[in-house]
Amino acid sequence: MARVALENVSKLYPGNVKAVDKLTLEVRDGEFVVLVGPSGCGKSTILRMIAGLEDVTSGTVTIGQRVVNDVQPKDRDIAMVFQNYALYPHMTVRQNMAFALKLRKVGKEETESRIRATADMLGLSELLDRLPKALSGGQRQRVAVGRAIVRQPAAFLFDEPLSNLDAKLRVQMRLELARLHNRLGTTMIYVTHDQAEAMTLGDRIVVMDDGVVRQIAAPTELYDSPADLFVAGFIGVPQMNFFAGTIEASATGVCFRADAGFELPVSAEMAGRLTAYAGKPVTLGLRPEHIGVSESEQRGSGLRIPAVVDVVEAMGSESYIHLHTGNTSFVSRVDAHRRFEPGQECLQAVFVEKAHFFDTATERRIE
Amino acid sequence: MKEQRITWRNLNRTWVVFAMLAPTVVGVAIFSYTPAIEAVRHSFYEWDGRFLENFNGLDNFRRLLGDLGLWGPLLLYGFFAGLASLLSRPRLRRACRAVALVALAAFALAAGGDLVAVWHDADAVQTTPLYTAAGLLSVAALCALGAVRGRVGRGAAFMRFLALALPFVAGLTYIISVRRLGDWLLWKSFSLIFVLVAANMLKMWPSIFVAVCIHRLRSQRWQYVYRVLFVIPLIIPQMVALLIWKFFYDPNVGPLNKFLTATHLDSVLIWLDKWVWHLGVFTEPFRPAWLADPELIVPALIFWGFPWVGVVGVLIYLAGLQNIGKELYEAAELDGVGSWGKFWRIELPLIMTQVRLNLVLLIIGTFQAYGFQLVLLGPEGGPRNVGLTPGLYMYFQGFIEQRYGYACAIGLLLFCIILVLTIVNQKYVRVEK
Amino acid sequence: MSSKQAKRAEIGKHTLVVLVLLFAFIPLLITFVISFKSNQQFAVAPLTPTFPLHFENWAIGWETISGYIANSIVISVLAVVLTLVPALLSAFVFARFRFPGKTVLWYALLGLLFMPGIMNLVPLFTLLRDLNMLNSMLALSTLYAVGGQVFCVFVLRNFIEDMPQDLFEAAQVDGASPLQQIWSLVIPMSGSILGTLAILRFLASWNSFVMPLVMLSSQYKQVIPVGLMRLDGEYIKLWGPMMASFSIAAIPLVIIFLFTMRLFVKGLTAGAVKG
Repeated sequence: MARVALENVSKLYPGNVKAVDKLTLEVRDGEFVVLVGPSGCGKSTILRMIAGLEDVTSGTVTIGQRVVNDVQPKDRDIAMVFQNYALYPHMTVRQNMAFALKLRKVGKEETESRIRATADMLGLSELLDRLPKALSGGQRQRVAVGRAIVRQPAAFLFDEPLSNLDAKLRVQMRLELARLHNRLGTTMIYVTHDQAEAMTLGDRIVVMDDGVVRQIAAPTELYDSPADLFVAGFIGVPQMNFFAGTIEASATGVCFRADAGFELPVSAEMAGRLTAYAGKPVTLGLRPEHIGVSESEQRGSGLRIPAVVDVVEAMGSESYIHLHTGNTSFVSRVDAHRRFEPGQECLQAVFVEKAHFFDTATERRIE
Repeated sequence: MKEQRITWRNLNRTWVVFAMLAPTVVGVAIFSYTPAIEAVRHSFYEWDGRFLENFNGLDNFRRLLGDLGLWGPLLLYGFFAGLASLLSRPRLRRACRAVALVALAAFALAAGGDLVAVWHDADAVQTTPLYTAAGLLSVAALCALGAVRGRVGRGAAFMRFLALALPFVAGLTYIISVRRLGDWLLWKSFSLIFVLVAANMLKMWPSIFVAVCIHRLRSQRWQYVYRVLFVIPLIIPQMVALLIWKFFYDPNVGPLNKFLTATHLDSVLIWLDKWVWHLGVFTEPFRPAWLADPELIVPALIFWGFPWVGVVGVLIYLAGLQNIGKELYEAAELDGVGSWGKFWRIELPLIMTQVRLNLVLLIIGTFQAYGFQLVLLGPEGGPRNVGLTPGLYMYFQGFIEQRYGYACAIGLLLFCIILVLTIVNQKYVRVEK
Repeated sequence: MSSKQAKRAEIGKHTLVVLVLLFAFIPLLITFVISFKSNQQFAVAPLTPTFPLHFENWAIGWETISGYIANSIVISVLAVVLTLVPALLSAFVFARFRFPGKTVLWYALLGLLFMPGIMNLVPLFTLLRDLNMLNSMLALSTLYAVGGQVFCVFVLRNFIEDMPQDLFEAAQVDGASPLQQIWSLVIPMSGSILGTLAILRFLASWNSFVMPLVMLSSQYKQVIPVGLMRLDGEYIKLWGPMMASFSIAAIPLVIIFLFTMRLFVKGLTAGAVKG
């Protein structure tokens, strides 16, 4: 078990393509950290640099107490689970799991007992003598994880391990991985582009874009107070709604004037911070669940904006109502039992306390 | 980006990788590159491989080609004209064409002067090939005109090609046939190559037909059986196959003569020879020596290998045919395409890659081949050198006459020709990996 | 198309293929038949079977060429090993590593594919003479190995690059050195292609005839094609023993073929190896 630390790590590919730019990240011992971001954001490169499959252009990578920049992958005491599992097709499950141990000259009995324990843990005992091609997708996935576990490494690296599974299996394996981490308590670094996986698995989440870290935070913090527009838009389904506009300060108070035409009074708490932005372009962010939809003016506090329903997506437990006002469209998330028709005009409430404001120029959140 | 990177910096832990490359690189450097470089070097030497090793400049080539004053501009023209058609950048292309034209003009001057110098000695000039050369030139001029007129399209491209290629051929005709310059035996061996290549083009077809026949069989099982059966001939050592064919042609005990006598075809041949061909090879008693009679060697070489079904060829065509989807056949069936139609419209075009690849390999192979003729006809290529190939001629000059330097010069010339063929192949015949 | 017509077409195809095969096999049959004849029998009826069968022809044939066959086997097997081991190593390096000068080196190797072997013959002979390696079977194997090297590296590099690259990275993380990766991943997974290449190289070495003719001077080191040619060139031919020798010369290939037929048919037909 060990901490993994990256300090000012950069990666340049030939032709001066910057994959990772001055990244600093510390993964504490026993922590489960998820790297998430759109494809091509450099998250896989980071994982491969930790594993030693890619050279570091500048900066240092530390595993435990040791700087491993010039250490071969096999000597870094890490195990990696690959996206396509990378099971050796000509070896049985048992041989696959024993391969690394054999290369490390671990004794026969020790190897066998480790394999048996791991197979029990993952429910692979019956499959030990099968070849990978005789396994289902989920089983292969489990073998890939098992192959990492028998190594008893200081840290596990996962490179989008669930992306080749179907949706149902993915949810199930996600749970198993979480359970596994609770049980082993080993440092785990996990790369995915799926934010649901990131939110459910990670102790902390690293959101990346274009080789740069946007925010490192626990899942709830990430959701509740995203650091910038990118994180706000990336985390959460459906996406957060954004309205461009300006801040207007007057004697009666501070309010946000949207380009779409409505005005939103700002809560007293936010007003102090926002006065500095008076007259400047600002983006308002509202989560879909914080926009209520009502036909009458009976309930709710805050502002009401007239809007027209475009599409209704019924998800079963809830519905996503796509609306527009002027030429700005947005989404609201409401209880599934309320009925709306496309073309219907309605008014919706906005919960001002939950509004996020972003500086349009820097894209940072105003707090 | 998935390859591991190795730089000189981390050499202390990656030297193993270079060590892994070493056997191949060292082996190739010693046994492929050294001899190749030596060969090129020694083509400028008088060399008997042992004691005599004198630099003699271009003497070998003078002896090989004849008057270098004529050859130089012609080869320059060929080089730049070829380069012009290979280059894609218009400016470079035009520059190359200009140089080619200058070279061609230089050649015309040289050839004209040469012709004037020898004209009074009427016996030295062969008039028939001279007319041929003139004819080729005028066709080239017409093509050049046509190419300028029609700037686009396939036809124009072909015209352009002819306009560039025909003057070269005309030049060759002049030097080789009109003036009879250079090593006459070598030109003779080239003419044999042309005959053999032409014959080989016809001999390709049976393999294609057989492959198509096997491919069209309904039963997968039979297809497999035939595939296996066609592999079996590979296990006959080539030398055995060669000697069996030699036996087949044996004048006294060979099955061919026995067969001809038994079916009374011999009298037909004798009659034909007496009244039509006037060769004097088929006479009573009927004992034609197929591999010893200068008139019969080339026909015997052409008939060689009947029914001309190459094992590897069939398998390669089959591989190509298997890539044709079933739907294509079904679509053709719905469109009412018949058996022949399927062959010409679907199967042949779709295995054209393999056919062309085979053809090119065949041409290059024919140029290099000499082992076969060496066994059958001896190093001189049989009586009157009728079976002499360029490769065999090189072998003869080197190992029999001990003129290694000269043999190297012939080798270099062959290398250049094969290189040109390879480049043409790369440019015009697309070969998928 | 009616079923009757279809059936007739099918029979037509079979007939054609069988006819062609027959032509391919008749020479073999004739060889076999003659191998049991005495010269008298051969003079009377060269092509049809005659009795009694002279089995001693095969014994004589075996005595004449067994030495050549042994030499050929040694040289060809050695050539295959010397070709494939270095080819596999360098193909792996080319497929998996990036190093300074890689492209140049690759094209330098690939260029050899287009170099006509014929040009090299004379300088190769003098090179071996200067290295004091003439008349050595090992040297001959080395020549074959170098001659087949580039083609094998080319095919194997493509093959390794087509393998899932994750596997090599997984092995790397698992602690496998390049050599261990080749041993435990590439070799088990490239069985059929290695086998096909081995057979092709074996056949090429087995059939090669000018090289040994030039490079080997001792009669007792000579290989089978040269041996057969000398046998054929003798002034008074003993047809029976000669044809028996021809048949015997094919036996090692028959044995190899029996063991590897499946693989070979697959490898060649899949178009894995072209040309």
